Amino acid sequence: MRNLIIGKSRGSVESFITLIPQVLIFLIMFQLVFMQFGFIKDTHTIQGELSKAAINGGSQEYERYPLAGGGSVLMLSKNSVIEKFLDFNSISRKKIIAIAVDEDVNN
Amino acid sequence: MKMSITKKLSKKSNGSAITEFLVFTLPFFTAFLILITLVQYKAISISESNNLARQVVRAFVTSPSDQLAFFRVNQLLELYQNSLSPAAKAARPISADIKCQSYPCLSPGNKVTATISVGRDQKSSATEFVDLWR
Repeated sequence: MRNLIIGKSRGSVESFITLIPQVLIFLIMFQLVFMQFGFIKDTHTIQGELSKAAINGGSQEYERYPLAGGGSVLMLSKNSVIEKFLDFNSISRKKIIAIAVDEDVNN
Repeated sequence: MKMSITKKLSKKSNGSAITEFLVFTLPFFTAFLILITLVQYKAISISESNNLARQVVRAFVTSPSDQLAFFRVNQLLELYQNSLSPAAKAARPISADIKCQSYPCLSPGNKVTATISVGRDQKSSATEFVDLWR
């Protein structure tokens, strides 16, 4: 173990061996950033759609909860699939929640 | 100057590949991972507090009476918090503060401001006026 850490590595094969984990780690970093932006994008899109439905009305699949004294709150809870470009076999899911007070005059 | 850079780049550097990987890559990766987590936490908190402030003030000013207004605010926040995962609920506690320009709050034309706190340091405010013809 000691030799492995203090020992000297010379040659192109050794440099290639070092390069592979570095490239993998940087790809994982990019994937994390990509997934994070994907999740934030989905959150804003779903919230925007629900707010639009709360103002204009719509046939979206939301839940309606009555508020004390009249009116109602619309809630949308969705399991979003997060796109990945490294690991294609497993699907990552994240729960996204949107909420809006119903302002549609027809309700 | 140009020569010295070329010399520096083509110079051999001896040492263990594993040590170089441990010393250079892992600290950068750890720091980056922490940064990504913080950015995500902040982005979610900002989006959550902005939206909740807007919805809370809307629920407040559309209330038929002052007594029901605060109850409606709590009802809305509870609905939202109940749909969060226990981990998210513990990481980002949500609280609301309502301020009115004059009292009683729900008098026609009165300015109502709702401030939502998410976590320790994220605060957002939204303002609305009570309907003049109520």
